[in-house]
Parts: sequence; C-alpha cells; structure tokens
Amino acid sequence: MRHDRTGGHLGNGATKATRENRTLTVDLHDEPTYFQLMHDGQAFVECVLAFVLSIGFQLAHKATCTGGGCLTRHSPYARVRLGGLTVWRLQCTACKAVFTVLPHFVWRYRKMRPDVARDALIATPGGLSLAWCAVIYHISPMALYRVSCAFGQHSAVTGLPRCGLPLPTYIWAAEKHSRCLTERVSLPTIVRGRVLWPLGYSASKSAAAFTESYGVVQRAALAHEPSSQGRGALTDGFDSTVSSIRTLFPGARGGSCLRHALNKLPSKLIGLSAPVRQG
Amino acid sequence: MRVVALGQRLRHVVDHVTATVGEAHGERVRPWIQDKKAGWYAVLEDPKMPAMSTVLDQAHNAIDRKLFAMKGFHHPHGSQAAFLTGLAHLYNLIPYQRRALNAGKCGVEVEGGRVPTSDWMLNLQILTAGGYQCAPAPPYH
Repeated sequence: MRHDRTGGHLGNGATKATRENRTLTVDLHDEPTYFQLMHDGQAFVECVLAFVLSIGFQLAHKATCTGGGCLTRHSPYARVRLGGLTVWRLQCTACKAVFTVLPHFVWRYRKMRPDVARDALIATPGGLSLAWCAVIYHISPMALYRVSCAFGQHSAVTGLPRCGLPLPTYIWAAEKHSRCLTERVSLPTIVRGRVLWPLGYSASKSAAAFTESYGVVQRAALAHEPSSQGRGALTDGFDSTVSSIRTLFPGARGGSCLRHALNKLPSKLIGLSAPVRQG
Repeated sequence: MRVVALGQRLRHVVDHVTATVGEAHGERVRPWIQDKKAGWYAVLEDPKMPAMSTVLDQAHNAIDRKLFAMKGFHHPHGSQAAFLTGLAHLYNLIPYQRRALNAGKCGVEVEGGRVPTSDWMLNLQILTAGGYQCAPAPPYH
C-alpha cells in the first residue's frame, strides 16, 4: 500500500486524507540561528511561539481541541535533499496536533531555496515569460511553474482573511474566457480594490457553474459572519454572471459596467458604415 | 446630478442613432439601453459600488497571457487552477509600485489588510502555510 504526502492511502483506488497541512513557516533571521536553536529544545519552542505571537496569528489546532494544553517538541525528521537538514515539529498536548516548523529558508516539499526564486517570482506576474525568467535567474521553467502551483493549493478565500481583509460586500465579478490546451475555460474572479479573489477554473460558462464558483465567497462570508451579505455587485453584463450573482445575493444592488457596454455598442449597430457608427 | 446627466446622454445616443440611420436602428438600440440602464444607475447611486474594471481587466489579461504561455506545461489532469491561484497570490502580495501614494505596499495593504512581515516572500510562505489561522480581533478593534 502506498502513502501520499498527506498521509492518505492510495491503494485500491480509494484516497483518504488523514493528515492536515499544519506547516509553520518561521522567520529566524539567519541560518546559524536555526542550527543553534536546534540544540536547545526549550529555546526553540519559545522562539517559535514568540514569532507566532508577533505576527498576530494562532496555531490551527484540531477542531476538538479544548485548549489548556501546551506545546512540546515532537520527533524531528531529516530532509535528505537539503543535505540532511533537521526539521523539528511541535505537538499540542491537548489535541495531539503536530505542527511542522519550517525555517524561512526552506519550502515545504521543495528543494529550491526561497531566495533563489524571489526575483523570478517578481518577474512572473509582471509579464516576463517563464522561459526568460529561466535564462535570467537560472531556474528551470518547470520548477517555477511548480512553485506557483504549490502556492496555489491554498485558496485566496481562506488565505486573505488571515490578513484581516474581510470578505468583500461590494464586488466586481467577472470571468476571463480563455483557452487552455484544447478546452475553453472560464476564470471567475472577484475584485475588491487592488485585491484579487480568484475562484477557480471552470470548464463551463453556465450560470450553475458560476453560481458554484461565486458561492465559495458567499459560504466563506457566512461562516465568518452569519449576518453578512453581499450589498452590491458590478458585472460586465454577461448573462450567466448576472444570473449567478442574483441567485447568490438576492438583495444586492446589481450594476453594469459602462465601459463594457460601450465596447459592445458597435455590435448593436451592425449594418451601419463605420463613420456613422463612430459619429 | 450624475444620474440625470447619464440619462440625458443615453437618450441623446438613441435620438442620434434614430435621426442618423433611421427608426429601425434606433428601436434596436433603445431596448438594449433600457436593459442596461438600471445597472448603470445602480453604480452612480451607490458610492461604494465599484465603478472601474481596470484592475481586473489588467490582471485577467496578464493571467490569460501566462496561461497561454504556459500551455506547454499543462496537461489535461494538471493543476491549472492551482497555478492561476498561485499567480493571484503573487499579484496580491508583491508590492506593485515604488512611487506615489502606495509606494512599497502590496494590494492587501492598500486595501487595509495587515501582512505578517515586511518581506513579501516570507508573507507568501506564512499565508500559504496550513498551520496558522486568524487570531480573533481584540475587543477594542
């Protein structure tokens, strides 16, 4: 029987995730500090807790944890591909949840060091192709692709509220209709100000598919604040989008983007000469 | 005032089309504008309603280009959704300008969010780590 990285059994076609991702990335300023702390268990635990408190987060214990426990240092393991680097873990004595403590210079499941990918990751959303990134920063395009995929395993809907951003009540909802390989795909996205809330990747552009995608935000908002509800949504006028927003947020004010309408106006005047349409 | 001005301009558009190219074309444009009008008024009536789609359009176009450029890496059962979500994380967390009002700030900070550290790379690692969760806001918050 094989085991996947999340601890699930992959035999007999049945996959069952039995282990949650409880990785803690901790900033230890430099590598010598980490190697020094490894030999002092109490100092290590205190340092990790101090960092967690300093960034204003809490540890993700098990749902059944009643609190009142303390953290102890759990068994370590060695990352062979990082030269045998020892990675320590912490365990809550109350709920037995185990947290893997990764120093800031190590990525989960990756051999690449974060500082190697830093510049290439800046260039990636800026429009520089991965091939050129590879030439300039000496990183293989596939490695960079996989790093982006690794970050993308975490939904923005669960990640952004950690920054104190509430789930938006006034939104601009739209999809990008694109092609990927041989398929036509839609990328439903919500924007509030400068922040993108990507909602997945839909092979269908039906109202039902978009309702499912946009419903992620609604469900997360209700889980966070049961009384919250969308108050306004701007759309580009695409029927499926409008329909799904009306379904999910029945009381919300629905707006239409004027610029998209102006772009579409010429198609409503088919049969007229260009000078007349432009006039 | 802006609502009235928009209504006048829309009527002017329909009248212009009718006068220039005939009643038939005017009648074709009029119901289309009537359908859209409520949505445009909604934008003007509520100041909190987003009015511009520029940010999303720019991001969508960049993501689309990247999706196209990466087609050699995709495979039918691949993780295209994860790749695009990863790109979105980069958009949100990398400081996007060096000058002007929001110099050195990432999108999350501009919208009033708090990032754990001053290093965007470390923020990316922390915010995508599964062991953390939000701390409840203090009572005075």
